[in-house]
Amino acid sequence: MIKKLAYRQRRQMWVCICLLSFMVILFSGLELMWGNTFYSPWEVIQALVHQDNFAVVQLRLPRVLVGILCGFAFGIAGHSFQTMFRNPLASPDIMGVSSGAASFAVFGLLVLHKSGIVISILSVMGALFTSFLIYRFANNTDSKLTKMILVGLGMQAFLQALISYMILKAAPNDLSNAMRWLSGSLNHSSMDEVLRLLPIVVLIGGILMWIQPHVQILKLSKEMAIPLGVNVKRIQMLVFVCAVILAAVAASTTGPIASVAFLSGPIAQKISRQNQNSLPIAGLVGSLIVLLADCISQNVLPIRYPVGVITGVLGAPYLIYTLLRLNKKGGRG
Amino acid sequence: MKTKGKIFVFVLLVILLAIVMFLSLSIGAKSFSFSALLEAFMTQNESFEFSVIQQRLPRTIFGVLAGASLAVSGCLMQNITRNPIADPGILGVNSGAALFVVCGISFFHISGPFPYIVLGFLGALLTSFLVYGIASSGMGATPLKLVLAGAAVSIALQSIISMITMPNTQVMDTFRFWQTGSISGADWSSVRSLLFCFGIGMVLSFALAHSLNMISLGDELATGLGVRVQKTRAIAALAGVLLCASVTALAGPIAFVGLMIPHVMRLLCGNNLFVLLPFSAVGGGILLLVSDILGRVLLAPSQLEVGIVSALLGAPVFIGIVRKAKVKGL
Repeated sequence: MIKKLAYRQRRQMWVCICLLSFMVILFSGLELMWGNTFYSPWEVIQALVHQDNFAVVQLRLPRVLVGILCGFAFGIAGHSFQTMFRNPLASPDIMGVSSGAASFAVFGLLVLHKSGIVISILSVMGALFTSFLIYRFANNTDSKLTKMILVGLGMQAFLQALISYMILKAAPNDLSNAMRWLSGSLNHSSMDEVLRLLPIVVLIGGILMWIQPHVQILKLSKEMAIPLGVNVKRIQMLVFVCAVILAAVAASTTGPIASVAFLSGPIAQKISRQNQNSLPIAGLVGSLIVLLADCISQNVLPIRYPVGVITGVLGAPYLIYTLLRLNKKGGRG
Repeated sequence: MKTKGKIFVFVLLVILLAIVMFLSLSIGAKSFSFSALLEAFMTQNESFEFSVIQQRLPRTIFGVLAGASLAVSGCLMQNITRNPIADPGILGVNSGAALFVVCGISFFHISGPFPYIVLGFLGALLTSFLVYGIASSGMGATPLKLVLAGAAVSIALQSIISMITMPNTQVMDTFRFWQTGSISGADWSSVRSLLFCFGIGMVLSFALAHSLNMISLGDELATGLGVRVQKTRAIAALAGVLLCASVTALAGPIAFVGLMIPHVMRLLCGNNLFVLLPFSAVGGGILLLVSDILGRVLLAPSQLEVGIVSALLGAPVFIGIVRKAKVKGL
C-alpha cells in the first residue's frame, strides 16, 4: 500500500517535472524566435547548429540561458527558505538577502572595477553577511521570525538606497544599468555569465537535492527529526548557506529580480499537491516565471521594461493574497 | 522632564534648525562663507551670491516644511494605529500619492502644484484604505502585517510608476524624483501650496491633540471621558494623509522621516501630543535639511536625492526600533 502510494507520488512528480521542462523549453524557443526580427523555428535550429546568426546566438541565447539558470536558482533558494522557516513570507527577496548580494556586486563592479568570478564571490559574501546581520539583530527575542522579516525589510530599504548612491556616484545616469541593480533585468547577459552560473547552480542545487529527504523530515517538526537521525543544526545550516549562495549568485548576474523566489515555492507546492519533493519543481517554476515575464516585457508591451518590473507587478498581488490568507488562518504563520 | 527643561530643549532645537538652514543656503556646488551670505542678504544687490541664494532659499524653506509635514504625519499615524513602526513611506501611502500624480501628469497633462496636491491626496487616501484594509482583515492589524501590506502595495505601485514613466526618457528624466524623492526642484509656488496644506494639517492635529491623548489611554477609557473615538481617529487620519500626500505630490516619496523623528522626540519630551507635535515638526525640518545637505556634499558637484539619504539614515533606526518593539508574531 505504502509502496504503491510512494510509487504514485514519484510518478506524479516526474510528470510534473516533464511538463514544466517542456514548457520551459517551449518558452525558450519562443524567446529565441521572437524579437526585433522574427525567425522561424527552422531558422533558429539552423542558427544554433551553425552558430552563425548574431541575433540568435549572441543576443537571445545567453539571455534565455541566464533567465533559466537564475530563475532556477531563485526558485530553489526561495523554496528552501520557505520550507526551513515554515513560512511563505520568508524568502530571500523579501528578507533582503538578494539586495545584500546585489549591493556587494555593485560595489565590486563600480568601485573596485572587478568582473567575473570575483563578483560572484563578493555577492555571496554580501548575502551571507546580510543574512548574518538579520539573524543577529533578530536573535534573542521572543518572536524571532517576525523580527527577522521586519529587520529584513529595513535592511532592504537601506541596501537599495546604498545601491542608488553607488550608481549615481560612479556612472553618468545610465538608467538601464541602474534598473538592473534595483529591480533585476536580463539585459547585458553574456555567455561568460552562463558559464559562471552553470557549475554553481548545478553543484549547489545538487547538494540541496541530496539532503532534501532530511529537510522533509525536518519540516514535520524538530522533535520528530532528532530521533529519526537528522542532525538538525547541521542540516539547517547547510540548507541556509546553500540557499543564500544560490540567491546571491543569481542576484549578482541579473540583480534582485523581484518576487521570483517568493512566488515559486508556493506555486510548486500547489502544482505538486503537497508532494514530498517539490524542490526541482520550484526551480523549474522559477525559470518559467522569469522566461514568461521576459517574454512579456520584450515582446508584448510597447517598450522593453526590465524583467524585474514585470515580476514585481505579478508578485505583489500574490503577497497581498498570502497576507489575507494568513489573516484568515487566525494570524499564525 | 519639567516644563522649563522642555522649553529649553525646544529653543535649542529651533536654534539648530536655524543653523541648518544657514548651512543649506551656503553649502552646495558653490559654497559661501557666513559673512558673504549676510552681506548678500543685507545689500540685496544683483550680485552673484544673491542670485545663487535666491535659488537656494525656496529649496531650504520647502525642505523645512516638507520635513515638518512628514514628521507630524508620522506622529499622527503612529498614534492612530498605535503602532511604533507606522510611517507614510513604509505603509506605502507615499507611493499611492506618487502614482496618482504621475498618472495625472502623463495621461491628463495636469500641471501646477495645487492640482498635484489634490491628486496626491486622493491617491494617498485610497492607498491608506487599501493597506489598512489588507492588514486589518481577520485578526486586526499587527505591526508586521501593516508593514508587509505596505511593502507589497508599494512594490506594486512603484512598478506601475516605472511602467508609466519609463517609455519616454525625457519625462523619466524630469520625474526621476517620483522614484526616490527630491526637493531640488522646489520653487516659491510649491512652497506656498505646501505651506497652505501644512497649516491645515497642523491646525487639525492641534485641535485633535487633546482627544488623541485620551485615545492613547485606550478606546474604552477615552469613550468614557467623552471622546468620539472613531470620529477623532478618522479626522486625524485625514490630517496625516493630507500632510504626507502634499509633500509626496511635490517632492516624491520620502521614507523614514516620519518614522524616526517622533521616536527621537518622544525620548526628549514624552508622549503628550501638545508638546510632541511642535517638537516633531522642528525635528523633521532639521532631519530633512541635513539629509539634503548631505546629499549635496556626498555627491558633489552633483547631488544625491534626499529620499536616498533619508533611507540611508532611517533604515538603521527602523531596525533598532523593530528590535526593541514588542512584536506579537504574525
